[in-house]
Amino acid sequence: MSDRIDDLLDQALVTGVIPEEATAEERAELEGLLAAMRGVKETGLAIRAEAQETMPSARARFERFTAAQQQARHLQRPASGGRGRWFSRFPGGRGLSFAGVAAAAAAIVVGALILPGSFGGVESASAQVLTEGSYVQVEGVVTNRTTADGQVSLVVQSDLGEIAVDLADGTSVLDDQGAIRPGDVQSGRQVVVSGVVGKAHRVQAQTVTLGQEAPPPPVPPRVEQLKDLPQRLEGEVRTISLSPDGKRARIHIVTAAGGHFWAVVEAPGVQALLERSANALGTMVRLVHPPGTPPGVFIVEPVVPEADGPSAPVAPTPTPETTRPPAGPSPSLTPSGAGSGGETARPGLVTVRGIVLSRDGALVTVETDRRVVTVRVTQRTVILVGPDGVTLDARSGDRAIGHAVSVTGLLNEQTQQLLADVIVLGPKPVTGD
Amino acid sequence: LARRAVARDRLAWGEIFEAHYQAVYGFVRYRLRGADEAEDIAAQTFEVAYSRADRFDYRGVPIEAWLIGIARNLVRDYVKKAVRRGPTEELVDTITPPTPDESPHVDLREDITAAMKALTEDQQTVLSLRFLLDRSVEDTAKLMERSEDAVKNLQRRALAAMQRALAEMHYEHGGAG
Repeated sequence: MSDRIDDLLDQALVTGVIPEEATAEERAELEGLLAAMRGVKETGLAIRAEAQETMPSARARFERFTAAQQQARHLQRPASGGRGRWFSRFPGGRGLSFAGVAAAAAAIVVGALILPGSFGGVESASAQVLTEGSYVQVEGVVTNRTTADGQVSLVVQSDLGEIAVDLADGTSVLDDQGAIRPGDVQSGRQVVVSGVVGKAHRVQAQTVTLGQEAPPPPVPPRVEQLKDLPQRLEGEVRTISLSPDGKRARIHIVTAAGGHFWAVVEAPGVQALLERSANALGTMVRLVHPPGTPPGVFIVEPVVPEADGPSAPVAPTPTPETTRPPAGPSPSLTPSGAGSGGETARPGLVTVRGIVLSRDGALVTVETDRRVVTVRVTQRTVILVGPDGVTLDARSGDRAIGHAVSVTGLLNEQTQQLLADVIVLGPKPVTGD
Repeated sequence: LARRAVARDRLAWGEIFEAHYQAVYGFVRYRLRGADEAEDIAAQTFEVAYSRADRFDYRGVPIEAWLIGIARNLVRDYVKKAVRRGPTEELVDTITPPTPDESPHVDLREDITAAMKALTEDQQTVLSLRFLLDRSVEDTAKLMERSEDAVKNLQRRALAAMQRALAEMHYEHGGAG
């Protein structure tokens, strides 16, 4: 009997009419079933509209995820035996493990004049580097995970001390098997966190990348504030922090001799690091203090290794012009196959520099030297304002039109839209008379 | 496309997302509290699929069936974890129908969604596939790994259960009846 009513229902669903052979009793049953079906279909229309509305943000999240996955694979290579407890990040001969680099850097450290700041302790270094509203990248080991009211939070033991990290639904959490739920993060794993600092120095994570299991540092290192140095100081980036006004950045490095320093640096140098790679941690950099730079403020620049030797070249002391983000790709910073004319091509990651032409909701058009690029701004896009006269309210309104802009993000090859990760707004270009 | 997806070709995954997001969203929406949760689970579905791309057998299962399977497991995990957390308001909203609205202006959508939550997982699945995603009996059978006869039987029982659930919420007949 049930087979018959199943078939009658199926016919009615296909034709829209209850079959004539149905008895009165069957007809009554079928009418009820069809009415229920119509209810489901009506609701389906609303759900389709809802799906359409949520699609852009879900798409943006997925694009961010796939890019982070590529980044995670790079990060999750096994650590080399001779290096520190964190991730191995120096492929291609850029490692601190090379004796030449170590010796050179150690000599520089010895020669540097380090003045312990009034906030020289570990805890205060964390507070100084992780300032509210800043975009940060920081690494460490997960030592605790808590869940309260659905909110997953981590305690990450970093070189700067313990850092509280809050994970939201939109946070991408990745391990060597791919995406995992925030609540599945286990203590004892190495971790790289990127996000924005909130109240009480808590990091609101955008991406959390888990590495191997590792013990936390038994004794957190003393992190000194760098206030002056006669020459250059080189080391590996462990933490970066970009202030929301885009004027200043803070950077924490560890030298080959094991010294930990944090310093206030000009933002463009850190922005340039981000433009080189979505993950700036692990990059070998040097800090310099050229004439004209304010006291206690430094300029950070990447150390570019020689192609066939371990020693990092010592570049000339930069002029103020070279401390700005380069107008075009520098051959020493750009991977092979990079574009030109204000666009730096990288696998999965693109940096565009140009002028803001227009803005329509979340879409911003940017004119580069070569073409017009559509940039999609999402809720998770980090927007920084440059140091030269751009006010914060320019970030959200049409006042950004005509300003110089640098956008780093992911290119959606299908829509040809650039999904913005970090946007740096600069001044309006000065036109010739 | 499936071969490129296995190789984690990002362009291919962009196409897959465009083609299947709405179906995945629609599939999970009935079982979750609201749009935010549905978007989260739908997005996670693609993230998990991308992460496990190398395990996908493109010669056997259609991509949509694979995605639906992942989505079903994610929803299942979501509800289980919500149960373990205890009877929070969110959980109550997720797995139980709300108190019937006594007002004359009943929100049909909410009642249908609530009635859906009174069904078994298989019943929800078959109604979602057949009447929300407009899949044929044949396609539904493939997606659910059942025979076509089994799907016909399941859809009837699901509609009957829906009708009863709606009747319990003071409807004389199911749906708009």
